[in-house]
Amino acid sequence: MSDVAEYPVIKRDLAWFALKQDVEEFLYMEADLLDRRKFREWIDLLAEDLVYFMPIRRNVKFGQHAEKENTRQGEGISWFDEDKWTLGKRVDQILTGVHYAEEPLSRVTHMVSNVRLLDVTPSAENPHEVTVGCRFLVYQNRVEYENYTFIGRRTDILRRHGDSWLIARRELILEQNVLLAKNLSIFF
Amino acid sequence: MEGWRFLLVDADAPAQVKDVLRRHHMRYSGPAGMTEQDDMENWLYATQASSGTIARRYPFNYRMAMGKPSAIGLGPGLVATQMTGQTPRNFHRTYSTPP
Repeated sequence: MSDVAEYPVIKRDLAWFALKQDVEEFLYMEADLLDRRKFREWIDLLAEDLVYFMPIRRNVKFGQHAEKENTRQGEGISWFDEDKWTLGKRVDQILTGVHYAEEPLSRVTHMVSNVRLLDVTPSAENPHEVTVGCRFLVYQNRVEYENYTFIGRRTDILRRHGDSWLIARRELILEQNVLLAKNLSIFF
Repeated sequence: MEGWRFLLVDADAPAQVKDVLRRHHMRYSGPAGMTEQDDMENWLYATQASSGTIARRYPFNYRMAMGKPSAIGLGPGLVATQMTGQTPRNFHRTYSTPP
């Protein structure tokens, strides 16, 4: 059951199951930090060389999806093409208390599901980096009537850091063409 | 409603300059832009608030940079190098029902 040849097959042994459990716990803890508005603690989970990317998606003719459907990281304009420094600035901005896209703060719940280990280096017994696929469902409600649902696919690269992990790369594929929310003022 | 914003960059600029402008634009403008993030919510609320009984008694001023935008032939529409009220003027010219 490889990811259609994109990733190698990983043997499902005890080390794999233990790693998968560990990774899932990390992702749920991370989502909980965001939902509890612990933004500074969340920033601490990001690697210094983080790539945080959400492409804009186009409606393209059949057969052109691989080439043209999503904008590319490092080229042109995307919803997010960020690093740790800029995400830290976004957090600073929210925590001023006068950033009116997030004042008052939104009510947000992050759901993470369909967690899969796509790649582990060098091994599940001694994991240094793990590529993790998941689905996200983020519910945002703010002020009186603003109500958004963001659903999509996410691929993360987690890097071992002591007993925990750092997020080294996050790619977010939001299942929307025209953004249906009024803004993207929350973290994914 | 859907809006588009275009970023123009000097074709002869060095790749590094183009990349800085690209990143600046993403972080400044649009729904994820740190400066424009709050525009959709508060502008729509302002529109709603201005439809009240008292607000309806008074005319609104849409004269900013009147007559300045012009067709420059690069594409459809009018272009101006300053902030203008052309967008709402166009909108109301197209969609308003005469009193």
